[in-house]
Amino acid sequence: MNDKLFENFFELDEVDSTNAEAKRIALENKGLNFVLWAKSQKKGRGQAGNSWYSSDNKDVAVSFVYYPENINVLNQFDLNLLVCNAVHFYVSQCVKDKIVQIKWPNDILIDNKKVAGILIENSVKGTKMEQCIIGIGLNLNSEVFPTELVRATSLKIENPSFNSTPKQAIFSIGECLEKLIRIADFTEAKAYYLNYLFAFQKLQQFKVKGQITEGIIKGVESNGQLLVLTQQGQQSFGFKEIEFIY
Amino acid sequence: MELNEIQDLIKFVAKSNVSEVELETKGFKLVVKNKLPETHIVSAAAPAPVQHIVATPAPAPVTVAAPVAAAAQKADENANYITVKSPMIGTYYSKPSPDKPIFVKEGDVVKPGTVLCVVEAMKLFNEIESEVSGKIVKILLTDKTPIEYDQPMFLIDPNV
Repeated sequence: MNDKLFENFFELDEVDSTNAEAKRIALENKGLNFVLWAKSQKKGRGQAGNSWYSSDNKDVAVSFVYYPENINVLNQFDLNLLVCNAVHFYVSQCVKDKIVQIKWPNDILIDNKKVAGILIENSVKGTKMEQCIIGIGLNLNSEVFPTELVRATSLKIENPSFNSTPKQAIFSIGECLEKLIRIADFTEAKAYYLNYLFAFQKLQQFKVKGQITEGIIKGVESNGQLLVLTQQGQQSFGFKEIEFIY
Repeated sequence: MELNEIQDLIKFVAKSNVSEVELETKGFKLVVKNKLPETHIVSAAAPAPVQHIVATPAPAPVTVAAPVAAAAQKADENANYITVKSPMIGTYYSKPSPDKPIFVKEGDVVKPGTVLCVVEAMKLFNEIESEVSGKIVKILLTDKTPIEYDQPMFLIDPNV
């Protein structure tokens, strides 16, 4: 492992998506850990194919590329824990008097509004995780969002005195992520994740198979599935099997 | 089926590395088992303990030898296919995105590192790479279907 995990820092003015561009760069630089920051991202991919809005040099659109040595493919959700925690930690530092939570599996909310999204893309050979591309979209300084993004917010909106550039934010998050990857304490990571998990141990409305149902989130399984106690008992749900109503 | 045809089949099975050949037509079923690696050529009249011929009753006039050879060949190939299984529970995707072409189709030749599909698990997207060289013989799943851990996804013929 390099002395510094994310030493190589690439900067681009504009990309379609940082993950897609990072994948192209990784193909030409096998085995190289790096960070790719784009000042503007035109087709960032968000949840379920929605695009992640990122305006010119105001917000964070970044991809971290690395080759994990200590994460088994069956435990890949552990990596998601570390990334969520790093972004959550940064956001919490920026908006001290607000409720900052992690919405399963990997959105970051401030007072129930989405401020960051994460898209992790791995390549897998057998049971080995070869390469991880960790894409993070974080709204920093944008104060206006397209009308369809009613539940979007930014650090600037939530804290008017917030004053950081995307690059500074990326360095802070990168530093934290690197530390968490090195420590690799997944028990601790899981505890942090659950501590800030949206609707954890609370009665919450969900949509399951088109039906609105109530349940209590009891935890997250090692494979990442959400454990929910419903009237039918305790059940595990995959990402597309359950939808939050909030 | 004629005696000499049965003998030919036994010889064929004995020479090949298949462990078993099963042949079934209307009212007739023949199973030839091969105890590897002790392969001996024996006559149908005096089956040795290493090989068994089970001919169920009502032998009907049966086909020529050619399809028999083909069947044996198929069994042989099947035994040598490599099954690529899912490393995790999730959703199977045959394309990188809905507007892009599929990663691989049946008949494609792949090498180690060729991306075969994507398995999405809890919003983590995993490109599954081939570990072997060979030809995709069969794709066992359709796009956007749920997949279990260890579920077979592809059959690859490495002898190409």
